[in-house]
Amino acid sequence: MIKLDKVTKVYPDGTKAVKKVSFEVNEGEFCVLLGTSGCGKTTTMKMINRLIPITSGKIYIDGVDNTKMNENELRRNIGYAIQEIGLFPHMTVGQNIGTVPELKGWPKAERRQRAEKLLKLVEMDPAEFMDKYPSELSGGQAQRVGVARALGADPPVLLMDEPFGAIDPITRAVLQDEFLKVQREIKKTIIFVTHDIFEAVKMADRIALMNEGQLVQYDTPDNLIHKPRNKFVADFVGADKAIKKALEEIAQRRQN
Amino acid sequence: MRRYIVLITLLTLCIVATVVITNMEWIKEGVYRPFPWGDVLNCTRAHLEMVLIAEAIAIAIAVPLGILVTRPGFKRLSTPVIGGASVGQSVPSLAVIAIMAPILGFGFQSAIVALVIYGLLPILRNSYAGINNIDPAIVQAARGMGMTRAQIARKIELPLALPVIMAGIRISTIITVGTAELAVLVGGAGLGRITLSGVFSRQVLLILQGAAPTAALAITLGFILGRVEHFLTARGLRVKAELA
Repeated sequence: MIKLDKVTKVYPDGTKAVKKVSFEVNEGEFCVLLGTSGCGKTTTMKMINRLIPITSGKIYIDGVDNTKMNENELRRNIGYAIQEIGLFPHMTVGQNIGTVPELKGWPKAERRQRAEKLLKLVEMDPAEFMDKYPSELSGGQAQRVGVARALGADPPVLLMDEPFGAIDPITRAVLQDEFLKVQREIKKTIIFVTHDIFEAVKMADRIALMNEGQLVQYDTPDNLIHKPRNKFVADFVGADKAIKKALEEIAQRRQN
Repeated sequence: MRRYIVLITLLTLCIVATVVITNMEWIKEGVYRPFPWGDVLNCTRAHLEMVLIAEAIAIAIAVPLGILVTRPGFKRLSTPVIGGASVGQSVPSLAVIAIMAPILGFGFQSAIVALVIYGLLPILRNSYAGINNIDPAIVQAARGMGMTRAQIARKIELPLALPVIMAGIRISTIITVGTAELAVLVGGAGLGRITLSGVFSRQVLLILQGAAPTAALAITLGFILGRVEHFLTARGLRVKAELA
């Protein structure tokens, strides 16, 4: 579904943000890009929908080189959710969710129907929230709307940049659980950026662990914990026994 | 509501003062007589005319210019443009007006040019800030969803910046009503004719006869533009203002 081939990003000032990263995400797979701040995970993600231009290498979506597509068309077919949410404050919840459908020329009634369906999907009551404005929502509600908006035009691919990063731990856990439930239903191909190893293990089918612009290990959460490829990975998933134990518990719970 | 009461009280006071002074029969025989009704009304009309023309020109220049310097490619011009306008504003209005006479000669056009220069800054600054202070996450989300640059400008940036731009226009207009008092010095018209003749003859009543309608004009225009601003503010933004 999504294939990165020796993707490299060098910024004009010479910083090498991403170095020859290659990996493949299958259809319906939940891939987490994991790493510390500045490891290049967000840059990698933004090259997929071309918010950041690629320096060298190729990104294929469904076998098509993404630089060969119209960039706005490309983005309209890839859902996009970010940590800061970025809801449009002058539009209602319904209008926000209907943004991409509107860009794609869906009729109004259909947009509204879609927004209602998506609000239900993220466990919000359409009757109550449809016509509210972003300033009337709590942080958790706003991020649910952010996710619903990313799903607006039912894109096959979803890019999520630390979507639950700015939310309190309790709400975050609720949103994570809910989103996993949603994903089981909608089966999107997801690329999800986080620096939180616990979140990664909880959510991912496969984790791409990055460090200093390079892909260190691309594997299932289980393998990442039990078969770390080198010392960096081993340290990252927990030189500390307590962390490792907690991660194993999360991985365990996933399988049940 | 309370704000309106204050405004209406002030406005009433100004109008009453104008009416009473203009109708003062008992000093009409003296040397320093109040201006007759015809003059007061003509001066008010001329004043309003100057303000409206100057503001229309200032808006036509400052709104596009302020927005232009937020655009990629023109961003590096923002510092000189906004800075230049700030310098213009820091020069006393009397000096700006006075310097126009030697440059453009005495007359209406000098007064208008001076008022335009002086009225530019609030509009320019607010147009720039209105666009520039939009949360970058909002624009990023819009780009990430596949909006074109033009769509972002029309559907996102403009509606979000409009209240701020309108506030700049309102402030500029109110300032210009005051500055226009001085236009008479370079051959312009307006209520300055009455106020300044009071100043030069040391007649408090004459000063009041010019100043009161000027204040009334400023209050009225400020109120009207405030309503326009409210009307042009998207509902989602008003909700926010009410919650804050």
